[in-house]
Amino acid sequence: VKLRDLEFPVSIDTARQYALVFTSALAQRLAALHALHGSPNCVPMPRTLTDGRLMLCADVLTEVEPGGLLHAMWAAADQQVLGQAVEVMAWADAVALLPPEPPLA
Amino acid sequence: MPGDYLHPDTVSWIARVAANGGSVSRSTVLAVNSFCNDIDLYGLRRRFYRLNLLCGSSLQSALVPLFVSESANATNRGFATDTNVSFVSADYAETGASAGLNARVQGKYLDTGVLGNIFEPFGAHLACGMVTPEISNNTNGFRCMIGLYRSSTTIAFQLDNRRGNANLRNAICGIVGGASPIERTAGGTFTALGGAGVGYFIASWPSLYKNGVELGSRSTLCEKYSHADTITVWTQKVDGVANSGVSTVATLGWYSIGLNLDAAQAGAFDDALRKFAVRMQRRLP
Repeated sequence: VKLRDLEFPVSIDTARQYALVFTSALAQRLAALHALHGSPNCVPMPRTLTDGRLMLCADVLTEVEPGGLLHAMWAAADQQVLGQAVEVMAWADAVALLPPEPPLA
Repeated sequence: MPGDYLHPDTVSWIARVAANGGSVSRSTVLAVNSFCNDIDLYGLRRRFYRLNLLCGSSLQSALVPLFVSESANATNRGFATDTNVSFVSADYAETGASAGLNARVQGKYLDTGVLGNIFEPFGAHLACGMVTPEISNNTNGFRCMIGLYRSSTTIAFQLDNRRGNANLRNAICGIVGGASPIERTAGGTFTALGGAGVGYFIASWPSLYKNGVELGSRSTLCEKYSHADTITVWTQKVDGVANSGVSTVATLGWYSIGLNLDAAQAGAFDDALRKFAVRMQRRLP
């Protein structure tokens, strides 16, 4: 399933069931977009999966609507590209791809 | 609030909340104001470099700490607002039994901007109020609520909830401080403290308070955390990078960073927090 397949607005209950998975190259582009249009009030920070891709909880999608903390960034993004490039994965499946937890510090 | 006398820290907080796009209800203003007066009454104000009660009408409000320095005239310790990493508005509730900011999943945290190297050994506290228990076990039995760690030197400056087994999952509200909160982890931990069946904090420094009561202390080697890393809440920074793998999956209701607290001060702080929780209709520890 791709991001383009989701119906917006996404409810928080639905969003929490999914992860957004994407490449590190796209993550860099999103970070640059956030630097231009985002704020410290919401800085999405993806986690790296064992296969090298990155993932975020899809609850960030609840902030892209007008009035949301990520709306300006979303509005400035190429949503067609995002819709194609971002994979939507069941949350549990994405968590299974996270690296093992670190040892006691 | 015409006609009301408001504490200067309250006035400052309201203005900073508005500047960040947030708002505050009258009842919250009064609760925050009473908290400020209590902190003054107990003579604690200068012990706090940064304190966030995570309140206000929205997430933008909750990201604005009540105290950002040890006095109204002092230079800010850390960022003007907490940098919110991956929390969304739906993770925040101002009042009720689950009031606070709920991480729900690992990887969500706040960066305070407060540098760990400004504190001297025997001279700092880190504290937070845990409203809900961890929702799952870390296989290593370890999650960090606030702090810093350097792998090359094994120096930690952090508060974590190291647990021996899955039964230790109850809600806790703790205050950590005391004589020497910065030391080598190699000195041992508080693994014997806390009671079976109740949540507890483990911290690798000599004094630990839970709900205003000292759980234990020890006197082992301390040294300064000498790296210019900023302190994060809901997780630790390891070698300057937030470590999402050990971030806490729970609701925190407040945090503070500042100078060390002795037993009487920790008890007074706990009292002020309890009064605030009652006024805000929040869960009491």
